[in-house]
Amino acid sequence: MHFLEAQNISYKINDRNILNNITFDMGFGELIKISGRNGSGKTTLLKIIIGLTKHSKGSLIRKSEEKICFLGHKSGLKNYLTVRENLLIHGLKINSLNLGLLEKFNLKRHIDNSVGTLSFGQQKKLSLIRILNAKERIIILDEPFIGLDEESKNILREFMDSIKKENRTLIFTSHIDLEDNYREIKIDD
Amino acid sequence: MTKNLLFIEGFKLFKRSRTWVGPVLVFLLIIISFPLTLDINSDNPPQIYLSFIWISTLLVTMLGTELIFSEDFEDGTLEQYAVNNKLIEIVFYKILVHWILIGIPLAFVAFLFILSLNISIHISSIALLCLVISNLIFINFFSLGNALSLKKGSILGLLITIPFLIPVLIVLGKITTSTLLGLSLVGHLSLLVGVMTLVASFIPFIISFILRTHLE
Amino acid sequence: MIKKFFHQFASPKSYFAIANKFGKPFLTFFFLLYVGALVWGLFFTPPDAVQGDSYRIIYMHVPASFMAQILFVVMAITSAVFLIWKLKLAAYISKSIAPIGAIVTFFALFSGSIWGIPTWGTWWQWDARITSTLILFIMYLGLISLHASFENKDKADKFFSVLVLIGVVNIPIIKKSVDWWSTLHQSASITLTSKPAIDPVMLYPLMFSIVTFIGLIFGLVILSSLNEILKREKYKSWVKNI
Repeated sequence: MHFLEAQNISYKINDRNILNNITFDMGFGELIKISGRNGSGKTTLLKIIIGLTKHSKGSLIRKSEEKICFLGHKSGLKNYLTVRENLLIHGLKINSLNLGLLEKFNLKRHIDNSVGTLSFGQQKKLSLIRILNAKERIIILDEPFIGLDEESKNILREFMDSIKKENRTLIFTSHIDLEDNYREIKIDD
Repeated sequence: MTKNLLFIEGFKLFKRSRTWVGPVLVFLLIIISFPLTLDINSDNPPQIYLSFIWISTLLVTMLGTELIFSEDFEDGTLEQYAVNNKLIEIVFYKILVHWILIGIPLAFVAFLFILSLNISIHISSIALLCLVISNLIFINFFSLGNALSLKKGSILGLLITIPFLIPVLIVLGKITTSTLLGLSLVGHLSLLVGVMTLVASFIPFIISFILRTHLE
Repeated sequence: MIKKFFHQFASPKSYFAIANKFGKPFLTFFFLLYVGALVWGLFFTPPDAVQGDSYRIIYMHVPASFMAQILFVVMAITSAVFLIWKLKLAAYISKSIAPIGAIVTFFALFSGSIWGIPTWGTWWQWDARITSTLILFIMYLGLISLHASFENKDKADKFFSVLVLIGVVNIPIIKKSVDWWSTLHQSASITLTSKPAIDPVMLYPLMFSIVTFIGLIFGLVILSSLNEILKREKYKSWVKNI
């Protein structure tokens, strides 16, 4: 069952083609990787799928209005608030589950430090906690593996597997090769 | 969830203390310095002080809304709001929260200052009311300016939106003269309230459109 | 269906083909006519009873002031067309009007100043008309720099259009409010809207100069828009074939 059907999607900025005639379908219970070289338009395609950007040509049909959980390049964290406050702002509770995650990510001792003092990788892990808590059926991640250490990468991989089992969909971009059970959409220059 | 967002925006602004404490302190410093530039012996008409306060409030409000959307844009928070279709709500809440934490305190400080000049409490309260109303108008337009040029420190957007505030300043001037002459204010005040209602209802939608275009 | 026809008909390509052919002749024609109007006004009309020969600047000042405001309204219309129907050509035309509007407004202010010196003894006055023209000038400049400050020109078009639309509402408001403000300080200003007061001998060349100036400016707008289209569509195949 598809929730999204895209045909011949093209996108232009200042009259230069960024995406050219991309066709694909997306359904529930799928893990989809969008791959391509740097600058090939992966992030742009994600934004078109989400609906933030409008494609210039082609058709995009959404079969169902689903809420999307999205993590982009920018962390969505407030630098001047503490780890705890950032979680609260995103509607997450400081419960045993999240404390456990903080522990796993080695962030529990920083819980009352401001996010500005965390390193890039630590901030990435914190943003990941929001994703791991997501209730939405569609999860979209832009380059989620960058900056993560091996442990965290495994946690993310496990999460992706569990998503598939729950008949939810996860779409992510990466230009690294990963050995996983996903479907790939390639963007050529 | 809706009330939650308002509280979250309020919390965010509150925690960023220099954004709302700063303008009030700067304002205080400016209005304290002002009488120093005038001759203490000559009888300065209250009109000069009031006019000066209107302009200072304008500038300080500009200071206070300098990063209203820029900051959230930079760290990806704005993008999150857009994905969840909460942009228009956020615009309203942010403006409201800035008005409550910056606009209204500013009006109070000005009120106390005007009283300290031995201007009657009647006139001072009118000034207070005017400032509370016009600060909301100022904040709306400065937010529009900030939304147009989201990069930090770019004053282009602000520069463009200041001409829109000139009519408001003129109305404030009229209210000043009318009050000091003891004339009826009902007409002018209702005009001000009318402008505030129009501006506060429509500008956020325009801002939301502009922000969405930025995020494309 | 209609939208598709509209898009095809009003495409930059077809507009370019027509405008390129007729643009320069159109401009030259009206330029010559305008020069004719000026000659008529400068040499073939009697001096004014009150102002002598210095009034003749109106043959340049009035068309300029008039066009400064009309251009903004035209810009607002094309901007609205762009926002509602997503017609790119409308955005190109909007954007190309702005620099011309700025120059015309400056010219109006400048010629007004020159007129003021012999007439009122002052080169500036804070009355409704002059102040709102100055603000109009600032708005034009602001619009130009706003559009230039964006890398992504499609976004720039949208911001430009929104600002023009808010501006077109604001300019009359500013005029009315400064007028309201200045009623406390009434100053003598000659208004040419009181048509009966002006002698037909001077009115006819004035009307002629206004009309020819309109043509002249629209000729300039056409040329400017051609330039804009070339700049913005330069990756398209039809442009490469020129």
